[in-house]
Parts: sequence; structure tokens; C-alpha cells
Amino acid sequence: MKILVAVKRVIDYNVKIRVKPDNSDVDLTNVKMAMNPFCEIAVEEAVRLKEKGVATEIVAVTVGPKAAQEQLRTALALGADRAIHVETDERVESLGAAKALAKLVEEEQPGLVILGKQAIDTDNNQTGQMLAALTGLPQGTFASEVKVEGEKVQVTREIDGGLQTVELTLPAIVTTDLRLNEPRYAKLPDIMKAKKKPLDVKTPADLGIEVASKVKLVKVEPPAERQGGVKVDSVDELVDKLKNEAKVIS
Amino acid sequence: MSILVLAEHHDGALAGATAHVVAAAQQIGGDIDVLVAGEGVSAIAEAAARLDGVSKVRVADNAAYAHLLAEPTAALIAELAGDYSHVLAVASTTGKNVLPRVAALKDVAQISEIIAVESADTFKRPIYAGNAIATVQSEDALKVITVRTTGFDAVGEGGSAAIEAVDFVADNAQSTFINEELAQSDRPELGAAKVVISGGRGMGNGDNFKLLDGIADKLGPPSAPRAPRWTPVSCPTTCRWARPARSSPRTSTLPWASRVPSSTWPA
Repeated sequence: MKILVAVKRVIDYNVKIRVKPDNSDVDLTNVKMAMNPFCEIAVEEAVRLKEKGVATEIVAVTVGPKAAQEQLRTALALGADRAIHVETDERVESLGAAKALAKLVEEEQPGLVILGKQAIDTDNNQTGQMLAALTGLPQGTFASEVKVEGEKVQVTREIDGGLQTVELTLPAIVTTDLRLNEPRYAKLPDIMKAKKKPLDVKTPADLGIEVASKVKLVKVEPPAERQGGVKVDSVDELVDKLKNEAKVIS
Repeated sequence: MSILVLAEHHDGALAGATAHVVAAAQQIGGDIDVLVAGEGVSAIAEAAARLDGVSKVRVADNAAYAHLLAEPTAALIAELAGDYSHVLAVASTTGKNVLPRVAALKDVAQISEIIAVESADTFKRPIYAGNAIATVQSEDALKVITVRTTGFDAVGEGGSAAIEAVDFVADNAQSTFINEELAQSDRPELGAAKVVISGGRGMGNGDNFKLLDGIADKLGPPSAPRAPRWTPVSCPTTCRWARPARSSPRTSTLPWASRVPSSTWPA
């Protein structure tokens, strides 16, 4: 079975973000970029399925600027066999990415597509679900366990009250949650080998789609400044403040 | 304009979060219909009809919609969406599972987790785990939106909307519900909690988190706010944080994977 894994290049999750002074967007100049953490979990899951003998080939895919090839190389170093880069400098949002991925699913015919549940930059949590709709495939979102059994896959999903298990027919779309697995580090020899693995570059025009977003980013602001705390002298004062100032208890 | 709100419900009861979404719909303005989908949901529909500001409750009561699996539920909403300018749902795992699928079926974008309504097409939403707030404007004819409930005060009860059945039944041969393991707790769900107490570094170590239970009991009847909403973790000061059992709508920072960064590509 072939597995398609989608990855996204985002700001490294350790970096503290800054909003541009003109409030047009978040400042990404000279900022360390990395693979989205949920996408790393997706790659790791695909690699583990291959190690178990369930998967035979892993294709890593990304949609984005030229620099996103770094993240594809990371995926190749972690164990993907080949990569496809849909190159565009447009601001791609979930629907555009899902359309590009849907075309690749049509071309590649994978048995399973694994994506991160959300990217830590736009926090949209949409692409996997949209891809499922566009391809007409079933979806298992927020997966904390994935078991492939014959022509079906059982996905345990992290839902608000606990865990839900659903069974999907293959091919299917799975999006990963944090507890699915703990991704490995790439080893240096694998990183060197990854440089020689095949990486195809396509454009949205090659796929016959448009990826530009219809949602306009009007303004980006920093969140409201957090007020400093105060020390209270007595429990009574604390209770009074909680009741009358913060209004959290009544 | 007319707005469709997907009702959130658990264990045969309407979730309080739905009233927050109706409040967001009121800010957008227009007729508000609530869709109650599920199996054996007549009591939930009646509860939804009592919410202020709701003009009509549409009920899709069919085994196909049990557990609100994404595939049939999205097909149902996409079928009904033609009548509406906006489709709203709670930004819960149900809403987030279903609505992007609806949006893609209708070939429109989705706007996730709005915290404020600026106008009928412009909304505020947190990005970068709440470290920035984006104002976004949708040019699509149909706006598909999930709502972060903490951004909107719930509407009251006192309405008496009409209840109407929806006959559409979606086929679903692709996904089957197997089981659900819900955390048993006598405290409410995090999203529905009136008071959230968080312990930090001052608690010393994970074992001391049970001290918070006593405070919680003092603040409300024991049957009220209680949920094991923390998996207390004690670790060295360099990485000291308790990991929420799941992300709270009240916290702005999501806990990322505990490992230090992705492999850096040698230049």
C-alpha cells in the first residue's frame, strides 16, 4: 500500500512570533522555519506503518514556496521514499492545499493519506477534512491510534469527551493528533541519503487548479497585553476580587 | 441573510456551547435556524427551540446521523446549505471534523474558531496558538465558520421556535462507528465549566494537584465543576508545564509535542 503524507513548512514552534509593525501579517523574515509538528507525527506514522510491512511506499508532498523543499528533504530523511513539491508563491490556505492534494491523490492512488490535524501557524484544522470531501474518501481526524486491517482502517480519534473509534474503508484520509506517536530524529546518514531521493516539482497550473485563497487577511494584531498580577493581603480580599473584579465566582 | 447553526449535543442533551454559537449568529444578523442531527434527538430539538433568537429548528433524526460521523453529517449540511448565507458550528471536535468537509463540498473556504464578529463577512480569529489575532474577510457567497464559544456570551432561553423535520438521508458506506470511551467524571466538560482552576509551578509537584479539588468543591456543589482536566506532569524546571488532557478553549497556548525541534536541515 502506498501512503501519501502531506507536510507544511511553518515557523519553528519554539520561535516567539512578532507581528509586523504595519499589522499586515506576522514577521517571517530571518525566522527559523521547520516542519509543522503535527506533520512530523504524520510522517512518523507512515514510516512506522512501512516498518510494520503495511505500507510499501511513502510519498511526501507539500504545497508552498521553493524553500519548502527543505521540509520535504526532512520527510525523506525520516523515511519517505520520494517527494512531490507543488510550488507556488501564493498565500495558500486550506482549500487551495486540499485541491492540490486531491489532484495528487488522483494521480498517485494511495491507500492512505496522512496529514497533521492542523498547522501551528494558521491553526485552521481544515486541510485533511477538505481533502476527504474533495476526493470523496472517508476521514479519521485527530487520530491517536491507526490500525490497518485488510481493506479497512480503524482510527481512534481524540474527541472532546474522550476517545472515539471509527472504522473506515480504504483508501482513507487520516489526520494526526499529538498522542499518535513521538517522532524520531533524522540520523545524519539518512539526511545525506535523503539528498539523493527523487523530488518532483509541479506547479498548480500543471495540476489544473488555482490555489489562491478567497479569504483576505485584513489585519494581524498582537493579542491584548497581559496585565501584571497583584499580590493580595488576605483571603477575603482575594475572594472579593474574584467575585467583583474578575467575576469568575458568584 | 440566513444562518444555519449545527447543534452540538452529547448524551441526549443539547450542549450549552450551542447557545454561544447562536449568540455569534445574532451578531452576524439574520434569521437563525438550528440543525439538530442525530438519532433519537427530539428532546434536543425541543431544547434548541427554546433558545432565544432561533427562528426554526430543523431536525434530521436518522440512524445515519448517529454519533455525527463526518461523512453523512457533512453531506446533510451541504444539502441544506443552499438556503443559507452562513453555516456555523461550535469549534469542538465535532464541528471541526464536519465543517471543513462541508466547506469543501460547497467549494468555499472555512473560517476556523472565530472569537469576534466584525461584520457579516469579517471575523477575528486567533492564529499562532493565540499569539496573534487575525482579522479575516471572506469573499465566498457561503461562509462556513466554527465558533470559539468563549468569545460569545450564551443566549438565554425563552423562545419557542418551530420544529421541522428534514427528510434527507445521506448514504454512508465508508465509515462505521465502533465505540467511544468517554472520560467519566463528576465535573463538567472543560468547555462548559463556569470556573476553571489552574495550578502552576507553585503546586510543587504533580501529587499536589489534588489540593485543587478541594477548592473546586468549595466554589461549587460537588456535582458541579469537576473534570480531570489535567494530566499533572512534574518535570525539571527547564520544561515545567502540566500538559492539559486536551486543549482548553480558555487557554491560548496549545501544548506542542514535547520533543525539542525538528531535525534542522544542514545548509
